[in-house]
Amino acid sequence: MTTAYDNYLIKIFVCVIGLICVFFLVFLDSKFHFDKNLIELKKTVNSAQRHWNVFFGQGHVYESGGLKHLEDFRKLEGIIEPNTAVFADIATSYYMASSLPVYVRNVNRHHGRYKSYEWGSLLSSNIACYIDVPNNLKHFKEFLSYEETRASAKKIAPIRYLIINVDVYNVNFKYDCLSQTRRAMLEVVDSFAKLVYEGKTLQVYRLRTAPVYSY
Amino acid sequence: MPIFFHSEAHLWIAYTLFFNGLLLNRLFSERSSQYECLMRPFEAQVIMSFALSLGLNGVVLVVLDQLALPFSYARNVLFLISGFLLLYTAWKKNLLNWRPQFNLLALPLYFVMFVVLFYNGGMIDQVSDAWWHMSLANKIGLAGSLTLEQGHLTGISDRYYPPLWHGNLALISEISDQLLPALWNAFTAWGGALKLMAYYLFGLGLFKDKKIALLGAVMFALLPGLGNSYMRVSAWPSHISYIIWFFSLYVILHFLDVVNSKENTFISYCRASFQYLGVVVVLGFLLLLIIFLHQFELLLFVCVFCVYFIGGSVRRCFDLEASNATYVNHAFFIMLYRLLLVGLIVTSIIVLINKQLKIGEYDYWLVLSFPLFIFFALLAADFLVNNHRKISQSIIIVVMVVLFISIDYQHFASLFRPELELPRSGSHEHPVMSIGWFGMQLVLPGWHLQLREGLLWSGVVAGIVSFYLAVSKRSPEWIFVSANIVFTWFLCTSPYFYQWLTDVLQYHSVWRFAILSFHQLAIAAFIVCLVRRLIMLIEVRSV
Repeated sequence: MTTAYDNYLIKIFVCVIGLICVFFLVFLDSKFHFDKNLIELKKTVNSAQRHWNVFFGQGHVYESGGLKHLEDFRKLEGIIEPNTAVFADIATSYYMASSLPVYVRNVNRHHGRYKSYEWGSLLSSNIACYIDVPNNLKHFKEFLSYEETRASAKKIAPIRYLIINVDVYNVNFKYDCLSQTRRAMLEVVDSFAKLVYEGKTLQVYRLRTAPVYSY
Repeated sequence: MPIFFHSEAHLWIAYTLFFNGLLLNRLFSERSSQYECLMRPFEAQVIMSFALSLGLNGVVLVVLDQLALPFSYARNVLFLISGFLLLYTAWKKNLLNWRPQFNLLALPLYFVMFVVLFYNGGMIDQVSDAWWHMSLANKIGLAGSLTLEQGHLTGISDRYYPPLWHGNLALISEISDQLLPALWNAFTAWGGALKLMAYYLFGLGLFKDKKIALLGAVMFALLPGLGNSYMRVSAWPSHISYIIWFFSLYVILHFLDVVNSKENTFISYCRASFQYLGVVVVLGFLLLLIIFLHQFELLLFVCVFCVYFIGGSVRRCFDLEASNATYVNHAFFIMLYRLLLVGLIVTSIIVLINKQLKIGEYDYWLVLSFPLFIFFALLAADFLVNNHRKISQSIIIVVMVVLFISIDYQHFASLFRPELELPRSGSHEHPVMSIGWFGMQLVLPGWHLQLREGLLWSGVVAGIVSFYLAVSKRSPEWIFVSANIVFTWFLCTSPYFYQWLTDVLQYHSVWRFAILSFHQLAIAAFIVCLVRRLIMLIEVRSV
C-alpha cells in the first residue's frame, strides 16, 4: 500500500528525474557550440560550419571567405572590362562574381556548370589543371578561341580574363584542382595572356586574343 | 583583422534596414490601437521595423527600376524619407512616447548572440550558396533592375528567384559603397539576433508565457535545429524569410486571441475579424514580404495551420469537452478546415488524373490514392463528430493505422543506426530510395539532409513529450506543437506521403517541411511545466 506521502515523493522524484534528463539532453545536444576541436575537424573534411561556435573567429572567414581580396577588387573595378567573363578557380570565380561586374565560367555543379556544356566538359576533363602538358595547352587555347565565337553567337559575356589566386591559406583551394596546380598555369600563362594586375594574392591576366580595351 | 571589422557596414545596415522602419512603426502605433497592442513587445517593434524597412526599400527599388534610374539614387530618396519621417514624428512627439515592453532577461540573450555571430561571421568561408546569392545581389545592383535578363553568375539565363532580399542588399551596397561579402558577413550578426527575437515572439504568441518564450529562444540558440536555426547562415534569403514567418505566426496567433466572436457562426466571426483590420493588414504585408523573399515559408504558414486544424479535429473526435474552449472549435475554423480538406481532395484528384498511370503501377496508384483517402476520411470524421461520435472515432483510428502501415520502418530505424540507410538516388541533396509494397521505387528524405543532427535526440524527445502533453493537457498550444511534430515524423518516414508531396509541389527539398517540428519550443515548454509542477508540489507540502 502506498501512502499519500509516498505518492507525493514519487511525483517529486518523477519531476526531478525528468528535469535532470531534459537538462542532460540539452547539454549533450548543445555542447558542440563549445567544442574547439570540432572547428578543425570540420575543416579537414570540408564540412560547413553552419552553427555558431564560441571558438570560431573572424580569422577563418578572413582567410577562406574572400574578405582579404576586397581591396584587390576595389582596384580591379577600374581595370577589368565590365560585362566580360573571367576564368579562375571555383572560389575566386564566386568572389569575383559577387563583387565585380563580371561573369564567371567555373561554378559549382548545381549552379549551372553544365548549362554551358562545353565548359562543363572542359572543367571535368581537368585539361586546365594540367596545362603544362603541351597537348592540354594546345587544346585550352583552341577552346578559348572557340569560346570567343560561341559567346558572340549566343550573346553571352565573352571570356577576357584569367585569374590566378596564389593564396595558400584559403581552405577551399585544397579541394580545387585548378588551385592545386596553379604553378603549371603560371608557367604557361604568358603564352596566351598578359598580366594586367598583380596584387598580394591575385594575378589578373587579360587574354591576348581579346580585343584591346582602354582602361 | 581589426576588432571592430566592418563597422561601417554595421552602421549602414542599422540605417537602411531599421531606421525608416522604426519611424514608420511609430507612426502606425499612434494611428491604430490594435497595431500598438500587437507591437507592444520590444521584439515585435524591432522585427516590424525591419520588415517595414525591407518593404519600403523594395518600393523605392521598384520605382527606380521603373524609371530606369541607378540604385545609387536610393541614397537621396531614403535620406529624404528619413528627414520627412523624422520631422513628422518630432511634430507628433511620437518618439518620446516610445515605451516598448522589454523582457529584461531576453535582452542579454540577443546581445550575446549578436556578439558571438559578430565574431563568428557569416558562412562565407565555404564556397556555399551564399556566394550565389551575393552574385545575384551584385548583378541586381549593377543592372539597377530587380529583373535580370541574363543569368547573374555565368551570363546564361537562370531561374527566377524572389528578389526582395537581394534587392535590399544591392541597395545597401550601392548607397554605402560597401562590397557585398562585407555586408553579408556583417548582417549575419543582425540576422541571428532577429531570428531569436522572432522565435521568442512565436513562443509568446503560442504559449502566452514569457518564460516559455524566453527559454524557447534559448533552446533555439542552443539545440541543433532543422536548418532554420543555423545561425551562421542568417543572411540567406530563406533565413530572412524565417524571421518574417515566425513573426507572422505571432501576428496570427495574437489575432486569433483577440478576435472575440459572440455567436458561433462563420459570418459573425468574419464580422468580428473585420474590427481587427489593422492586424489583418499587418499579416497580409508580412505574407507579401515572404512571397518576395523566399516563397516556401508561405507554404509552411498554410501547412502549420492545416496540420493544427487536423490535430484540433482529431482531439474533437475523442474529447469534445477538451477543445470546446479553443478557437479551432469555432464554426469559422471548422468551415475553414473543411474547405482546406476539400481543396486538398480536389488537388489530389487533379494530380491523380494528370499522372495518367498505367494499370501495373500499383505503388504509384497507392501514392496518389493514399492522401486522397486520408483527406476524405478526415473530412468524413469531422462531419460525423457531433452526431456519430463512435463512427468518427473509428475513422480516425483507421487513418492512424493506415499512416502507421505506410511508414518505411527500415528508414525509421536508420535514423538511429546509419548503417541501415536506404540507398541514395544521386548526389548528396537527392532523396533516398524506398521500395514500395509492390516493388516500385519511391523517395524519402535522407536523414543526412540536416535532419539527423536536429532530430537526435532533442527532436525525438520533443515528439514524445509533446504528444503526451497534448493528450494529457487540454490546451490548444500543445495540440499545435504535437500535431506539427507528428506531421513531421510521418513526412520523413512515409514514402507514400513524401512521394505525393514531392509530386504535388514539384519541389526538390520537401524535407524542409521538417522545420515544422518546433522541438526547441516543446523542450522549453516541457522544462517550464516540470519546474512549475515541482514548485507546486513543494508549496503544497509546506502548506
